[in-house]
Amino acid sequence: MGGYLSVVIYLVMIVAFAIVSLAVARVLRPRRPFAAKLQTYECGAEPFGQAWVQFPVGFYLVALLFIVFDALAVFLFPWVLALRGLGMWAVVAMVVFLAILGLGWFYAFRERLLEWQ
Amino acid sequence: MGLQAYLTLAAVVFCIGLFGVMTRRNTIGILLGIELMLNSVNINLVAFARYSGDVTGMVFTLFTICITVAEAAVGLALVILLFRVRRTVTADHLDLLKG
Amino acid sequence: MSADVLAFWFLAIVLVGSALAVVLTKNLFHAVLWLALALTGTAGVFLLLDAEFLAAVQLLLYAGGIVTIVVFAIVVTERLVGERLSQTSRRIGGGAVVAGGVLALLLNAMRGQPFPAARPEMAGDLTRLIGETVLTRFVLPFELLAVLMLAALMGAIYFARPDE
Repeated sequence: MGGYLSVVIYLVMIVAFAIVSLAVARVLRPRRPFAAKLQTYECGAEPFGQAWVQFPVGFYLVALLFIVFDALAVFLFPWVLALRGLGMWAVVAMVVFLAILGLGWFYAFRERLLEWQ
Repeated sequence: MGLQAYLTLAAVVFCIGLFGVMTRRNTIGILLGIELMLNSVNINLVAFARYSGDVTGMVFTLFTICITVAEAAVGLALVILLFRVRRTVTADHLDLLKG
Repeated sequence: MSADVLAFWFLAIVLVGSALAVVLTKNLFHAVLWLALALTGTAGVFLLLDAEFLAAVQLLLYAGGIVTIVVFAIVVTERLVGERLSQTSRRIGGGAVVAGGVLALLLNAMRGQPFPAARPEMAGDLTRLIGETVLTRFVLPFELLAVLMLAALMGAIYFARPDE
């Protein structure tokens, strides 16, 4: 655990920096609110409607593809470390694994999920 | 800290997740409870692996995390399908199979 | 109190507090964000248990992946114009009694068991050890996991994709 002490110190410093700078800004800045200043800022355009609208389902499908290949990528890290000791066998096992998941990528390609509609 | 401390923590988180599964009306809320329960099981597996000096429990955790991903993906796809068909994600309204 | 004990208690408080917030908060979106905190706390517990690789996987797949798809599932389902994104609970009393009962049973089963208090030394790089175990003893479950992920991917795409 001793190796993480520097991480903890770094974390404390990050949080402290955010809190201190926000607090100092709050004390020092002038406060003169008016209507235009309090409006929601959307790149200079007039905001209309609500932010909570229903999004197209394509967002979910892209997230789905992302997470499945995220899970694939996770296995590559211990595989690389074990590769030297195990040799060809590990390569074959990973190629089979990738080929099976590659079928999923092929299915998504055939279903035209990779193009944004 | 001994093994017992980790097991107690996992048991508490498991029961909080169970409470969520039983009391939530929203289907996505129920899924969040299931995620908490699976998460506490992972804590148990890693704790047992570390205190018995056997890496097998950690390998199992790796597998369960990936299976949870698959479970969440299919579960949420079902929620989206239910919403499209029934216009609701409230579990109480999904009683078509009730006798 | 040593640093380990302090870190354990800190993580336990974060984990239990955020888990309670997940099941109790009214706003579903906030519940997902609390879940992200709970999953990050679990990654910290994995670090305490010397499983650095699993902590990274936890952050990558759970806090980065599952939270993402839950958020996307919320924004594509809930029709929220003019409606608050809230979720109510029901039968809170009964749920609390059952959950408390299960907790009491678990703690009672644990009491008096001879659990080890000290950890044995684990030689070498645990990540490398995990990789070697996956690719030798667990190579069949590893390939089956690919089949499962493939089935889940295709099933989820089939369910969720819009009709032509």
